[in-house]
Amino acid sequence: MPRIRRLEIRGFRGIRQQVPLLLEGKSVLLFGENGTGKSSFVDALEKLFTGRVSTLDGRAQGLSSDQHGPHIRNGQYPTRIAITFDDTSSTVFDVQTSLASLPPQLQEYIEAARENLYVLRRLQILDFIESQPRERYDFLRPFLPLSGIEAMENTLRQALDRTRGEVETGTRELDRLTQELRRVLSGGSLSQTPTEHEVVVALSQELAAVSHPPITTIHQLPEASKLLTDALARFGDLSRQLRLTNAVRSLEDFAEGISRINVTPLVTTLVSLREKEAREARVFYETVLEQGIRWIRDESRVTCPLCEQTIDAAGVIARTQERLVAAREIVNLRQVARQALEAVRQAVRSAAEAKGRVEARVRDLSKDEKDDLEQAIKSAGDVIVSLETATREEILTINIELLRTCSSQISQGSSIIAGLSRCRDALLGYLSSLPSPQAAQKLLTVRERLERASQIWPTISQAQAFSEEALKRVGVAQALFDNAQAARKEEVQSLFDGLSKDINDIYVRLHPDESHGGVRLEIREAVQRSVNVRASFYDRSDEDPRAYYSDAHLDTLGLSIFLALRRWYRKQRPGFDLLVLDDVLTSVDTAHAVRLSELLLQEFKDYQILLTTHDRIWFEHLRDIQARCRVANSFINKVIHKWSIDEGPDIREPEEERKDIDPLISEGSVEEIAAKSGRLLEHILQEMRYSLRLSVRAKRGEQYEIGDLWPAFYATVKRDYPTLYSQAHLILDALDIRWPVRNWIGAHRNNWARNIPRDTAVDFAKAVRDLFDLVFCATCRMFIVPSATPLGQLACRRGEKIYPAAGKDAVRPKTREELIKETEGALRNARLDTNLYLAWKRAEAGRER
Amino acid sequence: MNDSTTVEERIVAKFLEKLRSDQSIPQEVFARIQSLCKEGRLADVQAILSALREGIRDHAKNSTT
Repeated sequence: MPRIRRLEIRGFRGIRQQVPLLLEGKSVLLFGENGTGKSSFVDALEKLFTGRVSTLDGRAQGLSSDQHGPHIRNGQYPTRIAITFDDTSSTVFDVQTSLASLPPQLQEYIEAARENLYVLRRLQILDFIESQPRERYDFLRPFLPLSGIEAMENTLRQALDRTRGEVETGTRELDRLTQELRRVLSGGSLSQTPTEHEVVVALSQELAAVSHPPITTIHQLPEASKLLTDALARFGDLSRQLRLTNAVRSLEDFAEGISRINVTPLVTTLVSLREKEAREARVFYETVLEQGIRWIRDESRVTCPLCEQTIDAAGVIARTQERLVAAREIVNLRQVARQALEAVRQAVRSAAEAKGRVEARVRDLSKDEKDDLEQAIKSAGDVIVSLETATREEILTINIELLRTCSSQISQGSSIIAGLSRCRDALLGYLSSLPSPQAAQKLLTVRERLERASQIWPTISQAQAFSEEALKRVGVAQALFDNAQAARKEEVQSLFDGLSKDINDIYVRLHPDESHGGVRLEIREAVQRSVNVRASFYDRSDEDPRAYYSDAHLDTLGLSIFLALRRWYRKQRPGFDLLVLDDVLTSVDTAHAVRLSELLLQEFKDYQILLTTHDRIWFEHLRDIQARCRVANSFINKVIHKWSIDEGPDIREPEEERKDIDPLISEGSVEEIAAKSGRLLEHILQEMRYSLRLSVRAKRGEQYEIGDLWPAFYATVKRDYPTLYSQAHLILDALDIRWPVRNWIGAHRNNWARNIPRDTAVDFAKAVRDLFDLVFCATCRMFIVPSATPLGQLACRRGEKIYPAAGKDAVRPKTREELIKETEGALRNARLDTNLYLAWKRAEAGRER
Repeated sequence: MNDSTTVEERIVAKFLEKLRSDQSIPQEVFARIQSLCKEGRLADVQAILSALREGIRDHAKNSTT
């Protein structure tokens, strides 16, 4: 099974320059205080596999891993994330790697990794519990290999939708046809879905109205229609009747149009106007006269401006005002004359149009019928033409005599009007000899309705049959869909029951003596694809855990759910064993965290785990638990010693730093020797601080440096571990004097310290190197720690490096088998029983004292 | 149910079992759906619509004869 050997990151999140995280196919426990770049490794893995970082992408508007993923000073260090696998070819995978170019096992690995179901971060622990039921289902969807079933359900839903669509289309068409039939049957009392009987009754009523026998089936329609046609034949030539009727109507319209031509008002006004204009020799304009009056009166003129003769102002004004009255009368008469002229023009125009219509109708008549009529229309038409010509002039030039002549020609009793009247009477005479047109019209209407109904009804019948069948299809399609959903729900619930059992097992192991658990995931009945989380709490069962559980319990429940899901997914993707837990132990108390750690290291020991923590105590606990669970060899424990924006996280192992010292002693500069030796000394002291439980003065920010740790280390070794002190006292004394060298020229560039001799730095480096060799076991790859027994002894895990307690022999640390034997089997089944182990350890320590 | 079957296979088997016992589904439709299932065509909407149409028509014919 492929595992990650190396993760290399550059220019991403908190990592600027290239930093390799060496996993060597093992699990990694990564400790780093807050803000030292732990999560950068997790983010990088996620980005590499999925192209996203869940703490950035989609978390808030404007946040994205593309924009905010790269290091903020990544200019000369463009982003690169790559993993090297531990396969024989040491395959490297980065964003440019084509999946197809990878061996099948790695392809499977990457495909599974892309599902992103292996990372749990502190922020995400409650995601599943806090999400809405439908979101929970979506969350679980990747764990449910149901793509085929979902495709089937979608298809059945589509089939149902389409069938429903067919019903709707059929119903609309049926409504349309029914409406049309209702219109044809002049609002007959048809129901929403009319039956043949209703249509037959409605048509029979129509037939009864024209005294025709009823029909009993729709098939009798052609026969009934034929009977109506036969009845219509008795009316003879209906078209002549129509032609004569139309001719009479249009002739009457023409005569009426002529009668509306009244030229008398126009003639009277024109005569009056012309008489007044004749009386006025000159034309005086109203404005000219008004201006003249104002000029004479307002300016008190006494002489004429043209002839310079004296004038009688009062007399001139009086005469001018008389002229003004006359001029205003002329203006009024012109206006009246224009209106009268326009009225005559309109009437003449209408009469001319009526003449055109009657001429068209007359053309359809027989020769006998239209003989006199054409002449009468022509005579009247000539007068109309004369009138059109006369009224085309303006009022000043109209021929009043012509108007008078025309008026007399078309007045009542004139020969033209009498001729038109005679012709009308003649046409009516022809019409009176023909049968009644109303009776024929009724028969025609009923026949037309019968024929239209006989066309519509078969279509309605077809539409009704189609709708009925489509309704049946909808019923069956709905049943298919419901059964598919029910089958999926039942089976998924069965899977959820198995998953719930797993969650519950994990949860109960984390909370062995507590009266809650009973966790159950359940598919909601009423809502599609949504999941409820239920749990019990004392005598309450089947409750939303958020109702009663504490935050810490909800956290462990969230962890239990995640771990159960991860195990479930592993069953589906056995070739993918990555499990990443990013600082998830924060809110869990010690006892529960110990149980969780044991569970992780026991139940998930066949996973490649990347476990991060910001809690130093937890880091130490987890290392102990690794040993206790006998998985220490499959773990690499890494410490991020410090972080800076330019250099990123410092995760070099002390062994690697130790290897650098000898070349530096030979060739390094004073500054390099001081800096790198100082860093190794700081690492040694950080380790010893925890293993020897050093008492140091508390410091805000917990950033302890050599100056903070050295005095306590020196004093503790000298006081409590004389065997080590006796071997190391020369080294310790040398360091007690020289450790400030690191600060003077290794960490800072003090001008006054520039002249420190190289030999001084070399002595410092040698002392650090020798101390490292005394306190670090290269075989166990760990620093010495105080043995559980006897007190005062320091040893590595395997006992290859031992500093016995004062006055006592060296005692090799006990193996698990030896412990089981010594406790007469009490610890045989104590794999996860932390309390029992801790109790035994305390008792042992007590005996020792 | 055999544990060696996949979740999807189990769901399809359960689905067919439910159809068989559902009185509202004509036998003629069921036979066609079962046949589509064997052919792996349950995601073919045209095939489902044909099965519905033809199955219901056949059922109507068989019911009247």
